[in-house]
Amino acid sequence: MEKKTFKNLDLDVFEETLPNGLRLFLCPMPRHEVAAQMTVLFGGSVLEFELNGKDIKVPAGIAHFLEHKMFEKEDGTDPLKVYESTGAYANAFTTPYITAYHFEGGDDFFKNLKNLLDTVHKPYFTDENVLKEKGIISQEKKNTLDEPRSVAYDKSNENLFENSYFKNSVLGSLKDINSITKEMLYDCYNAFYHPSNMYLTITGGFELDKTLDFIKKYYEDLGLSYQKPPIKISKKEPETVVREKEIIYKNTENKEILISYKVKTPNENKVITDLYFSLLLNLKFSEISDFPDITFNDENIITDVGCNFYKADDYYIINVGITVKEDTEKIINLIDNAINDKNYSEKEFNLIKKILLSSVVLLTEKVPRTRDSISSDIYLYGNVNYDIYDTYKNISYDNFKEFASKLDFSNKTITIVEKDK
Amino acid sequence: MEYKDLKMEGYDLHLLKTDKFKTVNFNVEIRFPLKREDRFFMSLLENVLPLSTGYKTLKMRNISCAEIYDPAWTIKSSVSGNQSMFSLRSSFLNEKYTEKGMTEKTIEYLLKIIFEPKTDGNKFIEDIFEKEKKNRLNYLRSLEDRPDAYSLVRLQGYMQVYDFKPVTLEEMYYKTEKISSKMLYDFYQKMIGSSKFDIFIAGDIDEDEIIATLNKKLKISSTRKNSDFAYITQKTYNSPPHGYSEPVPNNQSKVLIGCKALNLNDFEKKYVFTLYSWILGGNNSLLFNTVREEHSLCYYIYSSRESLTGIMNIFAGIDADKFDEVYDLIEENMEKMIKADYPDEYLEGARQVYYNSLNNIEDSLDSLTSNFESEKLTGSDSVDERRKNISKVTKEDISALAKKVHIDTIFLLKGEVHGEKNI
Repeated sequence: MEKKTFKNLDLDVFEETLPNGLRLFLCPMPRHEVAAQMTVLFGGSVLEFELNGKDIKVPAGIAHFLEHKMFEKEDGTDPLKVYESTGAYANAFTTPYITAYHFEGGDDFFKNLKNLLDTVHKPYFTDENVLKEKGIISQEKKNTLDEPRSVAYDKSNENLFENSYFKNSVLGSLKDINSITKEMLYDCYNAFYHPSNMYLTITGGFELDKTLDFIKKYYEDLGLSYQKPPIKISKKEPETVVREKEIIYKNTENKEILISYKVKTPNENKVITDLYFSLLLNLKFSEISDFPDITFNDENIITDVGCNFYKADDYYIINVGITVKEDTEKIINLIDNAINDKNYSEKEFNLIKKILLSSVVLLTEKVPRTRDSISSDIYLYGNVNYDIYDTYKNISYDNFKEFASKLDFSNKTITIVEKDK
Repeated sequence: MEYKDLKMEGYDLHLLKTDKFKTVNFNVEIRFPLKREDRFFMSLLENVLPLSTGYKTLKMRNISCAEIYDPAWTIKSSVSGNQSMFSLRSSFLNEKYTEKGMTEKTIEYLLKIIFEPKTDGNKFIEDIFEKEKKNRLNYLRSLEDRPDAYSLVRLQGYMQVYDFKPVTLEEMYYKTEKISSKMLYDFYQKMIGSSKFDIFIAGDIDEDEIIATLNKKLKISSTRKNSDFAYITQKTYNSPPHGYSEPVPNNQSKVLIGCKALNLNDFEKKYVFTLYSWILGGNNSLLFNTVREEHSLCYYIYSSRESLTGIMNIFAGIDADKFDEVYDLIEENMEKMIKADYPDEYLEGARQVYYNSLNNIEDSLDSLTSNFESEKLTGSDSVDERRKNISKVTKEDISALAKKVHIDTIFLLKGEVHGEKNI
């Protein structure tokens, strides 16, 4: 095991890669609680891949459907019941990039760990249990169809991307959900649920050596050898958006606006680029920007500005959302002018740095949060960013300004959800 | 870990010293007897107070906050048994990770928010007050855009929990509209002048420094009150249950079932009710395994218990035409709870979840602080006593409690759209 240290944060992580390709990130902390997560590099944006030389296409929503079905076992074992028998909390989730299975518990750690590994390595799909799951997932989907924000978000992705599979929602449409078969699930499982395409993160109160021995023994018994990770097929995506504006009519009291910018990925280190985008959005829309006063003083504005960014193939997508009563154009112009304004204050830049530095320290305070931070670093950057504190501390205003000056926000799509006239 | 309770001038100070965490928690809890009319003021006050800080703009207020490394803080009003609670809860980094002197500066910043609002004589500043009141009214008016939150407010508007009439959404809107900045400031003054104050500070703190800071920055003129906390006991229920349905052009229907557990004794309230609710509607419960897993009728179904009032609500998102089927399954499972007709593993699983939550208390400063607060404010037993008591709960105890649980009010937000055609 190789010992790595989060500099200035009093935390060590032990890394190891097993012969079958599984990467381990073990981080003992002086706590009773243990949090573990198995991450599979297969998410909602992967809808085409090569398996045994064959090009396979699958419906949207399949990674999420597979996540649900991994809790079904041939011998009738219910993984959730096993977790509960130890008092642990467990769940799973799917994003456009990954599917993750996790638990947080204290007692019977090895029983929980075995249960986690069994969950991802012992599939059992039948026509009957696939049919049953369609009812459950359809209800999960219907819940999102009644929320103006998620309706706007899904529509925005459709309008941003011409070819990229990011245009599909992670849940898929009701039609997609109903088209999924057990054969499709096995194709995806066989391609992606292999140790070389996964990694395991454990944080909290566990014994390092015993845990490593346990994991090694589990995989020896399972007999899975190294398998080359699958080839995910993506399509060339143009810089322009599919549709610049769309209004959706629903039963809603206010008007929900979502502006999504499609920005060509700058040619920089990914960690630094993400940090620059964080700084940029904080400077434009955070608590220390002009927006809290704008939204408070304008009776037409119902909510604060909410924003986030994510990476989709060769692009960064920046979402800025707000709810208003009327006059959507005025607000859209206000947000658009703010994001295109290239003037920044160094004083505010340094304050945002302070805020971000606090958030970095907090990443290592709680057992599940530390696990989540390590896990997301790996799928986002390939490795854990152990220098995160120094990276944030040393980020330079001039470099940021130069980065921000090159960004082009001209490609955007605007989605409005409003009441049917 | 070192606990200390100190009697200060006008308030009780509770200190929890531990060097296990990188953060410090600082909570101010203000309590007074629960009155129906106060509910309208409290929701508005929790929004107006953070805006009345004396800074010219919100940006300036937030910059001050960022300068002290951005402590996280919220002001919330709530109901705790027979008391109203107004709280400031905050968490900030230990000085070791920021700069010397930050703890004092942060506590000063936080105390100002709650104890030194900027006013215009004997009222809150009109402009700020009116704008925030409009925001609050907008929030209430547009609640329907969030079906889960809307349904819960609707259920609460129909269900009698306290010895006064429940507050409906319409009444909350109407009464909020009538409040003036003077009326709200009068309410604030009354609250500050006549409540019980408790301050909780947890983390790697220097007791002498903290006390010196508080002595310098905090003056509470109210004399220290005694706590008169009591649980709310449910004594009656609607038989047959009252049912309400509201059609909406949504894809999914929301079912909310309000239940009352009548005349529970202390042991039942604290322990048996907890396990009952978890077995019936927890993560891996009877309802989850039948309504969702066996019958494929929903994505989520769960129960949520309010231990201080003897209320338990069941929530599910379903297709409208499956309501009868879902309701029958809920009744069937509540009947199983009475007959103790479920495998022992459900009880043992629920007990393990409880043990685990006790074991994990010391792993987070937030849970340590909240545990400390519940022992001091609502008379929770100590962790050791809780461990001992939960181990004593039997299937018979749960069955006896199940006989006292009755469905009281049903609310159905009935979705009348099918599929994705409307998008």
